[in-house]
Amino acid sequence: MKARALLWVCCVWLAPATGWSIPASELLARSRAAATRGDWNASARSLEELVAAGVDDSSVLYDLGTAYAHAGRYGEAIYRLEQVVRRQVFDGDAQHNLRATRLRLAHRDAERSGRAVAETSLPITTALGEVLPLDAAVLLAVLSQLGALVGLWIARRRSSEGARIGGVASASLFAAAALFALAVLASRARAKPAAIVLRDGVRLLSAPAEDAITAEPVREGERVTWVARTGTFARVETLEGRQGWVRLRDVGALE
Amino acid sequence: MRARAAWLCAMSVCGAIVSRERRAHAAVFLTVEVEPPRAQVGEAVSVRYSVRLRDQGGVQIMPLNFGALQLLSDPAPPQVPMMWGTGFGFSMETSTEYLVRAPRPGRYVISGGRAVDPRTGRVIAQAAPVTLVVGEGSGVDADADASTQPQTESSEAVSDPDAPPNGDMSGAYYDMVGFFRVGVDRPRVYLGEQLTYRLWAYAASPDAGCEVTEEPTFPGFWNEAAFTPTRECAQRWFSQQVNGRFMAIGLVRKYALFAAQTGRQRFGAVIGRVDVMTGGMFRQVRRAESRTPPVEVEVIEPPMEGRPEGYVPGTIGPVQLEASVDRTDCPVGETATITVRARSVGSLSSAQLLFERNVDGARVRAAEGRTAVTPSAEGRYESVRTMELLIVAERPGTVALGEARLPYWDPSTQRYDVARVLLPTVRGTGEAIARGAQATEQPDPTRELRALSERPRLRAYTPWFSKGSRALAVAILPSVAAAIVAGASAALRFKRRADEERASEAKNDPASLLRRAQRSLAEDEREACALASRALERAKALVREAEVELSSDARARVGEAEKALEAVRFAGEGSAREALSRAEDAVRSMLEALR
Repeated sequence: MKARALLWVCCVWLAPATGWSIPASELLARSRAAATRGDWNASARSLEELVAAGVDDSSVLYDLGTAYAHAGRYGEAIYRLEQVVRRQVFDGDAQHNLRATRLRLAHRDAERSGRAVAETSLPITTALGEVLPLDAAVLLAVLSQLGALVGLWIARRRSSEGARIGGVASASLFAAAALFALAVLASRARAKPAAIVLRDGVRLLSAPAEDAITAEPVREGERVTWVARTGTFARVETLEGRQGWVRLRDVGALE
Repeated sequence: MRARAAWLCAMSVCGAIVSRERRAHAAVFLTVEVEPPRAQVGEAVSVRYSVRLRDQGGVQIMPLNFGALQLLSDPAPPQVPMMWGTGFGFSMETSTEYLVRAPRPGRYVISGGRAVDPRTGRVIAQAAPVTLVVGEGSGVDADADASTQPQTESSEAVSDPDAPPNGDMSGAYYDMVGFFRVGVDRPRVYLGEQLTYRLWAYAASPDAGCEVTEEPTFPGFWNEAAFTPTRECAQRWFSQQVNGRFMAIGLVRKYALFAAQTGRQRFGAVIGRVDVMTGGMFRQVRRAESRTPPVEVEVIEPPMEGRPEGYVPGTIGPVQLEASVDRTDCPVGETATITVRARSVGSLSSAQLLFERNVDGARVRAAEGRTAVTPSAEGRYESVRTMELLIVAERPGTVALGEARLPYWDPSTQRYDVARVLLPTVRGTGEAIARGAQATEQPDPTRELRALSERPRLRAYTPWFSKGSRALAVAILPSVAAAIVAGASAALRFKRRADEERASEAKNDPASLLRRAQRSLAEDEREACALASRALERAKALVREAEVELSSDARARVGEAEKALEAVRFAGEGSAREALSRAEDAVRSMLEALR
């Protein structure tokens, strides 16, 4: 009787882990199959499940962003590709697809309303903060500072003039690199959290309520900064300085 | 001697007479008058408290005791200047008027009018008590009246919207000296409807100032300030009778509010202070700290019944529409812009213009609209929403768009309506655009998406840092550590050098002896020269120990230095400074020879 009860408990405990979960490789295969068929929404759905399960490597996000872009969901595509670019600055494919998605969105807007914004330049401090991913900036800052210290030590200890000049020169170079990395980190630390407007037709609300008066619209794929959050609403500020409330489901936080 | 005593006596008598005469002239008169002496219950009665000083020094006037009478004005007594010390005296007259009323019939005694010497506390003068006889009158129950809100009666034209409302003193906590009062022009508005919020400062005297320390807050509303708050207390002044007493009223704040959210909205209390100058000729500032009760406004949505198609909640009218076009003749393929302006005293932020989008021979696009709020002539605010329609003619000929419509809710008539305007026509000129032109457009390589990644890594992204501040803190660690190490080593070096200097000084070596000689030169020249001689001797001993042969020049320097030092020490001749410098030269030459 005891053994049977123990078996039952084990079954109940292990069931969620084994019984109904779909392997990540299976989801990826489904996504690829759907992409081959040209069903980009289905492909994106499988990748969304992967990301929701915690499999959010940059390559998965790149695929998800590209699938969104093919499906015409430009806001979501820009959001995912921005995430990839922030993680891997030198990812050429992600950079290209991000630019292409923005151009596609701009053409769609131009078709609809006669006007479009392809890309908005970021403030210099914000742009500086996104030149390097955080981890890379920290690594660069630490290594450069150590390099500069070693250079200084060589310049002081070595008796030959050549070694002294070499030490000073390398210390200066490392110090410049360290300053650059620290400037990146300081800009990032000062910057408000950024977010991307995911959907078309989102308007800024005057108050955090479903029945609040809507104000100026925000563009799909537009970058906003996160000012505050109340319940299911977030107060955001656009790059032009307009502020208002949006529903949380309408924006994707980049951090 | 006798004559001198007589003269002194005469002077004393004269002094006494003069001082007696002076005391005889000094006087204080206090009067209390009641007008009318017989009154009815609830009737306002004026009480005048007068003070007349004649050749009098400092006095303190005590306040009146009104007994059971209700005092409707400032109870402060007349103010007279305080003159301390003897020999001062002046004459003046001042008075203060009070407003009282009796709660019930009877005899009321007003007493307590006294002038007191502030130095001794002695009562100098006293006013006779005055009796006020109050009859039954018209039967107004003053008690019941007093328990309710104070009543106001304006002396301004009722048509001025910025004047405070008459009747009950709502939106304020009454204070005799001064207080703030808030008011909204209606307690119930529709979503998007304009509401005017005003804040007044009431003061017992027109000579008043005020300061708002906590500004009002308007959750659920957009607000536009009618005037920018300045250092001035108020922008406009009015007067109003509050419980039969005139008060000066300043318009302190005015906001146009647009309801942005339905439900009961509560405006925050205003806190501030009102300063009133009192005391007639001798001014005194009386300060009243005041706060207003919170104001509640109910915001409702227009009814669903009869709602026209395309109506966006929050669009409030009446709306006036006007349309203009930037050019009536437009080449085919180019854009003409029709600008439609909507004006309303309500909100138009979410207004949507309805127009015919499918027009044969032209493409019509609606650009984003923008809303501005500007003051209107009636002291209210007007929303102006500007919307643009972009027209691209595809073939020559006239493009007629018909009319544009804007549905709105009119709170004044309590019904929906639609504002309409006939859009201007545009005439397309030139050649028609071929429909197939767009189809042959070449694909743009910059818009082509690159392929999916070949082998995505199925793993979680785990960054070391997710917050910039933490990353920055870690990144500056090497620099901070290096700075700490460098600082510590510098401190150690400094300490070591100081120790070495102290040790060398303790050892009596020539250089330290010379340094000590230089330090003591200003205080004792002989002592300095003695130290320099010791330094020379020590240097010579070192030379001897090292068995070094000095050059003739060095020997000559040593000899000259010894002579110069001895001349200063024993004969008091020559300059000690010069001798010291010679000794330094000599010691230096010997130390160089040692090296």
